[in-house]
Amino acid sequence: MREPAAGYTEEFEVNMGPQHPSTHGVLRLLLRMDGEIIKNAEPHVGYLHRAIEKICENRTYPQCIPLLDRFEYVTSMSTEEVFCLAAERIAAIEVPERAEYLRVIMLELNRIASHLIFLGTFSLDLGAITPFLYCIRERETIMDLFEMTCGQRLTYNYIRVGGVSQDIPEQFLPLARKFVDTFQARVDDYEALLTENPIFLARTKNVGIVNEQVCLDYGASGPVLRAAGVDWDLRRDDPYSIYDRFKFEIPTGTVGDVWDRYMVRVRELRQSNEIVRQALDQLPSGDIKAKMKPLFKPPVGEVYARIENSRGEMGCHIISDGSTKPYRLKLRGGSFCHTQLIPEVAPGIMIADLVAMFASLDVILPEVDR
Amino acid sequence: MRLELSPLLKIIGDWITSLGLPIWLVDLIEMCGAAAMVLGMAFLVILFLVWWERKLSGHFQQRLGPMRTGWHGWLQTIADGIKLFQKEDIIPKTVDRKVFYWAPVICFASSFAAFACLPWGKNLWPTDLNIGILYIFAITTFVVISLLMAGWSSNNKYALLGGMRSAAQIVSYEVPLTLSVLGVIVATQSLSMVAIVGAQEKVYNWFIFRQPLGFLIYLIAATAETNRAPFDIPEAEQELVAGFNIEYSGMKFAMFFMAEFLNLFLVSAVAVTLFLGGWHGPFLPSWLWFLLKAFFIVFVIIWFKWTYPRLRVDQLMEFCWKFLLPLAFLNLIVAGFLFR
Amino acid sequence: MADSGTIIRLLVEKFPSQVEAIELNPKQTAVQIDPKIVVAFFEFIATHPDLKMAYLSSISGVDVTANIDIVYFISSMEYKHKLTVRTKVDRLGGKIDTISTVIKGANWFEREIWELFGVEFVGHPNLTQFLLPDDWDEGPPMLRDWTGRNFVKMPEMGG
Repeated sequence: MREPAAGYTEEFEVNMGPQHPSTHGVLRLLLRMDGEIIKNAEPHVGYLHRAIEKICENRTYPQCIPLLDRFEYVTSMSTEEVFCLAAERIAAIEVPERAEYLRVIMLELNRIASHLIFLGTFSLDLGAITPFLYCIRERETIMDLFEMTCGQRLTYNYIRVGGVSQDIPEQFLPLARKFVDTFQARVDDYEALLTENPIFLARTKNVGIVNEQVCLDYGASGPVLRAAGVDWDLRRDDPYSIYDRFKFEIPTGTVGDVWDRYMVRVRELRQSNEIVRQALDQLPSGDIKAKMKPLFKPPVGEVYARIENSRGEMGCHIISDGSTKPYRLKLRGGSFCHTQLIPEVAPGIMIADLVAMFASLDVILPEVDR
Repeated sequence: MRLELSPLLKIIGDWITSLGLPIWLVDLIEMCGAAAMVLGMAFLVILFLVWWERKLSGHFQQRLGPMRTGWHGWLQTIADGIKLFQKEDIIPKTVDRKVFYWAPVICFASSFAAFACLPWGKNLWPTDLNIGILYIFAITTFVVISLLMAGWSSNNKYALLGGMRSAAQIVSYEVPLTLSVLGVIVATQSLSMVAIVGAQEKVYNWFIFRQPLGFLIYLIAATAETNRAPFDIPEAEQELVAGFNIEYSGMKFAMFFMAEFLNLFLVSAVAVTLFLGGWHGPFLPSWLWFLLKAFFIVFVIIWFKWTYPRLRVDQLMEFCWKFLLPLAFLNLIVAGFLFR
Repeated sequence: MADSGTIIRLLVEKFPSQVEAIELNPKQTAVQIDPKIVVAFFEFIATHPDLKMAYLSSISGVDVTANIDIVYFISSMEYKHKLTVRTKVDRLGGKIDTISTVIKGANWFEREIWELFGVEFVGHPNLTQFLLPDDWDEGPPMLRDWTGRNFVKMPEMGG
């Protein structure tokens, strides 16, 4: 905690946002500052509220999926997956093997793309402009893979209840293998630029610490929680899909500072790469969609499904009343809890550190506002 | 009284005298002519540097940079200049007008005035002041005043904060900068730029080899002086404060912009003069050597910008006062002993 | 690690007439509780050594036309077991105690339910405008019979 110099000072209020140069979405942080030190940071959200939950009450299950893509557009595959998982649990549908493998491949590729965006924008916020362009370059290959499969680069409408919508074309496998083989070297490149750099370390070590107690109080999840030292990953601890067939590590940090969150995500990049490689190796042939009636009408039921998104726990609470439309659809993203904990950790840090900390939390505002 | 100009300008000066005009008019014409040549050189430098920075940053980031305006975009600076020139000059109502107008002028003028002292090649300098290096550092300090003027007159608390931060940074880093240069001056016993270059005729005499620590300190302090990354938090601060030039637009903004590049070239040219042997070098003409070496240092400084993240303000100041300054003193003491 | 039966048994023992197990599709550990004991309930499951459930995943509001259901999803990080907690409040002007004193993360979830469903959380530190615009005056929009903003129900799909 830094003390400002003695003398007459006055606190002043500053608005950070809603328009940000560091584009994490449309967030307004009302800061009360004493010189450089922040006394209080209050997030104002709601700029991106599109009433997705209300609209989905009025749409059939397949019609909801394109809307849910926009709920968390950087990792659309995760949103579709959690929704389809919930619907399949209510209706007790078994997804065929090939579809599960394809889902895992797409999910992990999406996780890689999302972490690359994090890496780029995070280093951009710290002033290192070049890694952003390198990450975007890698992400282009992933976008190409997605585009050749489902025709879209960002909001896919690919994972459907009971399976996936289309099979992968034949050019997919060679390109995916090439990506997987060269990606480790690329991550080494990014690490060489940032990880051991003294300036980077000075900006990130012991900065913006979100410790274990704060994480557990606020329900933080994903890399934020793991960076604080808690070994919790829903792919292993609340298993879904076929993640138990893949060998991968779950990286954790120690202190919960910005550097830990950065390192956890960089190591997750490598682990996701491994998962994709194993999934490509094990990909079986078969159906890509379960046999279902054309109009999906699940029985009465209620479930809360949660998966490990690149930002944390993404949850979907569906209540079905037996009709073709969900009676209640509630979504919950990791960023919701992470934005909530900002007033807890912001007081006492400097404004430059707040930027680094906020960038490292990797918050996507649409997840918060829905 | 005739000015002491370089031999090249002397020839022109003699011709003008032969026209039979009064002496004061000849002097005036000579001075204007010399200033115009220096200004021309400055503009050429800016022309090249703006394009080069964009090309370099593009290639560092695995993209191409400007490609359409001329061959590989070499006319980009002219395109940017035309654009800035014909932009509307927006002046907020609440600014302090006189100060607002004069700030960019002083910034540009001080950077450009320092060009008068640079030795561009053998017998190719506008003037050889016997306090050359002192003159350069003194006149570039006017930049600090212009930043404060810009920040204050904008009547905007963010511009003021940015201006004050920039000014504090420049003033702080001038101390290790000057100290590192003092090491060279102790060795050459002269403040004149030409004399310093003259002392580095052989490659093994170059001060980069004789005072490597001084060179490193100079390079780091010079990057901070020009407000470039990794020390660019006052101006590229994406968080809150956008810098002192937040309220400037159009030609005034262009002047600040040009002054930044002039400064960049200036510190590189001074580095070349002091540490890299000036214009000395085999085979090629001397001015070509000077330019090559200067642009090499410019390249290194641009390389810094696109590789490193930026330091926080307090880390920046800490680095200067607690690390660079003691090292600079150490360098000076050792130089004093070695070059008695 | 306590299995579903043990969890329910412990809860029913502690709050005899106010907690009852309910069956949901798909099978999950779910209880229906009396809204008056909500704070004591969450304190109990957070501190009991066999339960230790303090990791809140989500709180949803549901408008079943007779009243509003509030559904809490909570899990344990040590034991990896989960619990679904359901409770009922009145539809218009319903009140329930806030659990943000027990679990800080409940703050924003409850704020959202207040704003979208109109349920008041007694003792909540900050029930202010959250997702909706500052000048919203058309009532809690997530209620099933809300008719503002030209809201149109989509036609039913055939079959």
